[in-house]
Amino acid sequence: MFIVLNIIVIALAEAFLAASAWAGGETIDFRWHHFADNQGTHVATTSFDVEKAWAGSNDGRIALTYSLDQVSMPAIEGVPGSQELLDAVTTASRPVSASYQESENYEKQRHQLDGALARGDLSGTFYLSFEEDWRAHQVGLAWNREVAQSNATVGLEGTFGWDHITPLGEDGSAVAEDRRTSVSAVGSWAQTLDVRTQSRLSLELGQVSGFQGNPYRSVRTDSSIVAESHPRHRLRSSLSGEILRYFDTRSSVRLGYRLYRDDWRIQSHTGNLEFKQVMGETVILRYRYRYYTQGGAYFYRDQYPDENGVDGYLTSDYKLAPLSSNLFGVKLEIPALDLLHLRRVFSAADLNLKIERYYTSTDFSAGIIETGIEVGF
Amino acid sequence: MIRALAVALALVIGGGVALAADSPLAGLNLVDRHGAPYSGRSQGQVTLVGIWATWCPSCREELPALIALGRELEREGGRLLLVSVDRMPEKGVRHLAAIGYAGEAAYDPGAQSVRRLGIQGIPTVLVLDRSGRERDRVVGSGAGICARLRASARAVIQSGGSHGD
Amino acid sequence: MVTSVAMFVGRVVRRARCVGRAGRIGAVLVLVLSAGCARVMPIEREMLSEPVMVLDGDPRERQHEQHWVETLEGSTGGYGGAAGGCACY
Repeated sequence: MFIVLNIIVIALAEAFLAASAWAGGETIDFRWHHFADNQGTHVATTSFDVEKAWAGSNDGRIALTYSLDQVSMPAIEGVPGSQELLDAVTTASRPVSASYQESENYEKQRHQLDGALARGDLSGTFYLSFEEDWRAHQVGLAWNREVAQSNATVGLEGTFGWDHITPLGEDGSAVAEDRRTSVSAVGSWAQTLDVRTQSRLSLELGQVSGFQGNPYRSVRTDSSIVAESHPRHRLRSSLSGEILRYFDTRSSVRLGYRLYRDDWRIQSHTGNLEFKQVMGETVILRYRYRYYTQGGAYFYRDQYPDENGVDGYLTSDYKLAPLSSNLFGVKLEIPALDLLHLRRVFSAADLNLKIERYYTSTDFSAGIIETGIEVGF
Repeated sequence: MIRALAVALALVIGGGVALAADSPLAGLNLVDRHGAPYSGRSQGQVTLVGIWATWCPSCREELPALIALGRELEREGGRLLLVSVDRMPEKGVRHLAAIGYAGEAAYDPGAQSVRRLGIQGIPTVLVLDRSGRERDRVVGSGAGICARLRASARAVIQSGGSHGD
Repeated sequence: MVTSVAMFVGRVVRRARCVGRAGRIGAVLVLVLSAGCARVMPIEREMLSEPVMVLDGDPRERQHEQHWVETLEGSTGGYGGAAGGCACY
């Protein structure tokens, strides 16, 4: 049924793009992504992306993407709303009943539709996400310009998002309602340093207002179980930089760092190391390692004495605690036009396969597999 | 009569008309597909010198039209010379073979030589007269480029551009 | 929406110490980077145009990773902005 849904969406997208104004080059990208963690949660994501160039112009394009997350969690016994019963992967929040049957898996879907329209230096984006208890929307505008004979690129981007949250009760009907809005701005500067080195610096600022927790999560204090309570405002900032250098063995090394801070007093550091190598004539192999470490939110405690928490806030969200994580893996990008004898049908075809491993200091680990094909017309 | 025949014979044996000292091609260290010094010489023809590279998307898009223009001008006494600036000449060799080009080609690995001509970007096409002097330089790709090159080359052909012009 | 944007700008101004430090570091890094770089002519960009030198990477992969990482970690963002072009004419 989900494949049928995907096909319908793509057919609609193709019909929309058939207008003569969009009769430029076209690419279609299909991805399958699987996330499986050590708590038995599986998330399978399929996504179709259609991108078309504006007829007669190299600087105009439109893109539409439809993605479907299918979440499956093993049923376990536990206190409704406790951390161990939470799906932390897809923003798919999980209603739980104290009488939940062990033999049943919890299944949920999230639909996502996003798109972009670009012309010249300007581009506009939209994002829609639907699940039975959470609707998210976002629009964005970006401006990018190459300067100094393309030795530098300056970019500015702004986004505005609004979410509508309706947690469900045991009978599946909404029992409450809340909202959340977010605003962000990104400034970036990409600079060519020499004939084999590029760099980029980005500054991002954001504010989130409204509900910012999980509507089903509770917190155990020494004396009782109470609903989680987070501040309703959060101001975030991050500064990131990266450098990319080419070597004569047809390989490159990328080093990246990000510093993040917010007014919940979480500060984090992220380091990225990536090595890419051309194998043969056109196959690209990528090795990657990412290290992340953060301090905890000022109101996070492993245990709260009472329902007053810290300044009235309590959380059992482990991602607001001090933690570190490691991500490493490999990815292969393989041009497939001749490999799969597709030259008569497509103008380009590329396969990709990625396998990665993620684990944190909180005894959480996950395996990620992604594969896909992109074809051009 | 005998003297004229002797001069003609000397030209044939010598392999063509010597380039003027101020010709852009004089002094360039071009190589052929095997890495040997490029020995192609002008036969007193108006020459389009197309400077390109496989890593330049607009160059790859423009090549077929430039090659077609070269064939057209051959009938009028012109010629086309493609100069690839790929660091590895074999990339240019393979691409030209793939698009079915069997005409004149030379290579300047890493653009070491053509930069001395003040060429900063590609694709760039030089229009040289019969003695190899530069008469026009067309930079870029897109609509109108081939028409401009055609007009420029024909103007040089019809003016009989050579020594003393 | 206008109210949210206004509130956002107000908070940024009020939290100038937090934002300003990152902004000052960023400004210094921009000056250092642009002062220490050479002007690369379009005809010299062969190595920069190699497929292993794409600064933006795979946008679809990046978007998906950003999505699941933000549900497992307490911070967000840091996936960069625009990258350079091929400088082809």
